[in-house]
Amino acid sequence: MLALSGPKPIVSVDFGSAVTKLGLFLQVETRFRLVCDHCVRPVKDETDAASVLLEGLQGLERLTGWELTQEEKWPGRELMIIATGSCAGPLPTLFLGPEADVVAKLAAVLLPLAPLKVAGSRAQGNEPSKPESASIGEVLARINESEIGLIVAAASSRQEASTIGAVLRAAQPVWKADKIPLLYSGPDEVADALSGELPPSIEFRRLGTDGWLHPRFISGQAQEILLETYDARLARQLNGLAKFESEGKSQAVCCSSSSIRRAGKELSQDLGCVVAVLDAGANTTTLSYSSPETQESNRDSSTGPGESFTAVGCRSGPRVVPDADILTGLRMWLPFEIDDDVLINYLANRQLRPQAVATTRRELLIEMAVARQSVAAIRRSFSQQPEALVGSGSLAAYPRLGQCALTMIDAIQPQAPCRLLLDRASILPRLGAISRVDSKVTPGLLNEALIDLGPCLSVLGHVTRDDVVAVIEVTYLDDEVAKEQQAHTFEIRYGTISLIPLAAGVRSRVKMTSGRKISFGHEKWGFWASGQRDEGTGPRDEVMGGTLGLIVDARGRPLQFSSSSAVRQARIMDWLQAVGGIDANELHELD
Amino acid sequence: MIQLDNAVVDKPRQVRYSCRLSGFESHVGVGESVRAADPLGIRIIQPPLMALDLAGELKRSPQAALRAMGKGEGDFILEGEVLAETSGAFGFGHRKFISPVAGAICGLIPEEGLAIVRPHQRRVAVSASLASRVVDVDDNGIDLETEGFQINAVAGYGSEISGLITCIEDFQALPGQMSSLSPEEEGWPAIIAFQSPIDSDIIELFRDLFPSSHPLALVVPSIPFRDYVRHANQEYPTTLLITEGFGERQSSSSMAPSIWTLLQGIRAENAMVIPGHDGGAGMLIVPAEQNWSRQEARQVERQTPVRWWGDMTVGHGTVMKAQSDGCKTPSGYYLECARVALEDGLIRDVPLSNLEVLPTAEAMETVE
Repeated sequence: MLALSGPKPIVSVDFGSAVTKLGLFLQVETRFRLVCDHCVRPVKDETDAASVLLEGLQGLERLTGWELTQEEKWPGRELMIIATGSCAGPLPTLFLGPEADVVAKLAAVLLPLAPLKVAGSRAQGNEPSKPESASIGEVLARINESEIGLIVAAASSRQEASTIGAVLRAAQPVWKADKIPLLYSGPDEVADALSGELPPSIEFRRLGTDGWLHPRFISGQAQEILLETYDARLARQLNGLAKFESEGKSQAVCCSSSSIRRAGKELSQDLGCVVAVLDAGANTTTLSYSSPETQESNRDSSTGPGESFTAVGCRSGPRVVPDADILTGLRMWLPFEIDDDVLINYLANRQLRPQAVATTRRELLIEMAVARQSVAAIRRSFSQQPEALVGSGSLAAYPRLGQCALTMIDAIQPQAPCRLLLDRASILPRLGAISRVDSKVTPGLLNEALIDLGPCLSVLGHVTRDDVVAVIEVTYLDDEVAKEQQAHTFEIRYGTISLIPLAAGVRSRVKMTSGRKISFGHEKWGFWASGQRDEGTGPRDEVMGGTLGLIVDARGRPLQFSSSSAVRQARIMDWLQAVGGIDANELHELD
Repeated sequence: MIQLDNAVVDKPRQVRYSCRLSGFESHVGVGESVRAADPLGIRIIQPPLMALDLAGELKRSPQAALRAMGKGEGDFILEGEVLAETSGAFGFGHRKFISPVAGAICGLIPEEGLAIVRPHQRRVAVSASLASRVVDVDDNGIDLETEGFQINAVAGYGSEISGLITCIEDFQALPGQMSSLSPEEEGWPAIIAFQSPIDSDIIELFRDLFPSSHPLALVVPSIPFRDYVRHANQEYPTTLLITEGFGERQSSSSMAPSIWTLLQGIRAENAMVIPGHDGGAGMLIVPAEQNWSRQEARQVERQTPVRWWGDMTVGHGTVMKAQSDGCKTPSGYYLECARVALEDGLIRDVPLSNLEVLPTAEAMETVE
């Protein structure tokens, strides 16, 4: 860890695929504060990191009047540059194992831990009946065609290790990278055999004596190494930053997933509850759960519309076309009809122009659908229910707060009460990166950076649509408000989402009465209700309002859609209107 | 001065381009000048490794199949040579494995009876397409620089091609114009530019008419993404350069007027198409030595052309005002915008983030 001494100014940079964001942090009195925030949209893809950083620093100079790029103007106040980002894209990973099932399970275990993508997988024995099995010939072809950043090997015998070694020795001369790490976890004798069989261009790294799929295997340890490998790749991608280090500006680099994870961890300790951070970027979507009890995040998942929708032109080769399932999944969230080809063309054009913003409502609704769909793939990985749900990245920047809230709820589909927080300025990854370098800088900043959208109650269970499933009685407690407002009773109908007006910072007594077949799961009162760290001493029926009020999602879990597209589209329009995501007079523009 | 996506249309500039070849032996050094058709070096093509399934072909156990090999790891094998041979009892079940490829046996997989063969490298002479100067050379390719004009693409595939430019405005005229194209004439391979979007049918038409031994490049505004992927994955793709984006013929916009004007100005002149590689999405280079019409360039110069993305497609127009105050888009974002006169006569505020061809400050001074 790099120690920060004195009031050294920090520039934290988030190198995104579409936008690079810079924040200048200075110590004011006793604590660090965000002094200035600036965004740079590189015009050209090939613009290198150093040029983008220099442009960003010049932008900060224009805004603050300080000459940040000239050391002599900052005597004794050397700049510290802390970089994070996902611009390196997912790490292409080759999975090798003895059986197709093992390889598939191995990929399923590791893919959620870091921004990885499957560059190839291979099991011994050709098993044509199993689609995940690939022949050695197919795998060799994939190795030849694609860049490999990491190899993960599973072997339980010397013989299996020998086969993996033979495949890698044969393929070795065509590796494009200099030294590729191979991760292995398993018994000593197999590890020895495998390390002895590998060609010199492969670096053997062993995680432990338990097999990958053994119950005692510690995924946290694997995650550390995966993220470390990804950070090294990112650092290579951002090697232009070395120029700044040579000028006396110290720097540190870590990937977005690590930063988000760190920020989530800090937040969970600050708020005293389980926190889920959902960061939707142009290339990578990260969902990180953190609990105050554990030392590290439980799971950290990354996937991306990049994997499904990218690969146009020179970036990854034109080999990926969105498959039918993805298109069907996207259309489920759209309140209008759209042809497959039109949608595919749109997604491909969007990939060519990641820096562009949606100019029409239809485009915005497609973006919201992509965000929901990209999270759907990783949502199943988590068993804990978050009490604080934080949105960051592009989904936190939608024009209306209701659009952000609806996308977050639809994507995560919480099954317990939670509080929605929004990182409107996309500052969370940058704060997480700073926290990895010096955890003394960020306390207080994280919480202050978020907009409190309000508590969200979700109805569990299914009943007949339009039935009244609950009655919520709200009594405003704050004196100023109580003079003007009466106690109100709200009927909640199944299949709807509602905003109950509870102004931000206003306490209210909330009484929930639900039918027998459904539940809000609100027995445990905590941060979701009070909006602050809950010490267990506060009243158990009071709720603090948020910017959107109290959100009541009575659509059941999991969300169910009508088989009739007209009905489904009407329902989605209802939901959008209910949260203020679209006005009634704008609906005709969607046709 | 007006910049069109790096193409300076009022005067030529140094255009740098790369030939990334994944294996290259250079015959030229940095700083040397080369003329068109001068040799640059040898491209070394390493075909992918092949796994030969001896056990499956010989119908023996993996161990028995490998024992039947007449050669071992590290040995070389010729195409058509017998790699392994088995004989059954009384002459029945006699089988041979004939190697389909020449190369080195670089690995054996005893558990599966596979032999992995690294085919011999192929060496192909590479020559310069344009008069250029060598600026960098390494084991993976060569960087060259030439005086000329450059049009950047948004996507592209295929191989590098240089040839004469033919411009096709109207599909109805296509059959007639195609009959005038002949691979036997001087000037082939051809670069054919379309003003309107194309689709798979047009590519198939060209592919049927001209064999793969007569390469050609199509420069088009757009194509449906499905068609793009389908043709890019074929073994002998027609080189394709896309200037605007992806879309159907009926719904996509035509090529940017400024690019089309430029292409028409160099009709029947020599140019070079470089499809996408690591550094970019591909480009078209027009050497400056050619005597192409300056009138079209001046026509473009008087405009301040922009291409922008929105309404689910690509649009074109001219900037009226560089940067208005923040404006609200129909989607609800409040953003910095430029006021743009669209081709259809409408005036619209377009977010700066969606403008792809940003006018230079000098150009804006003349506008405002």
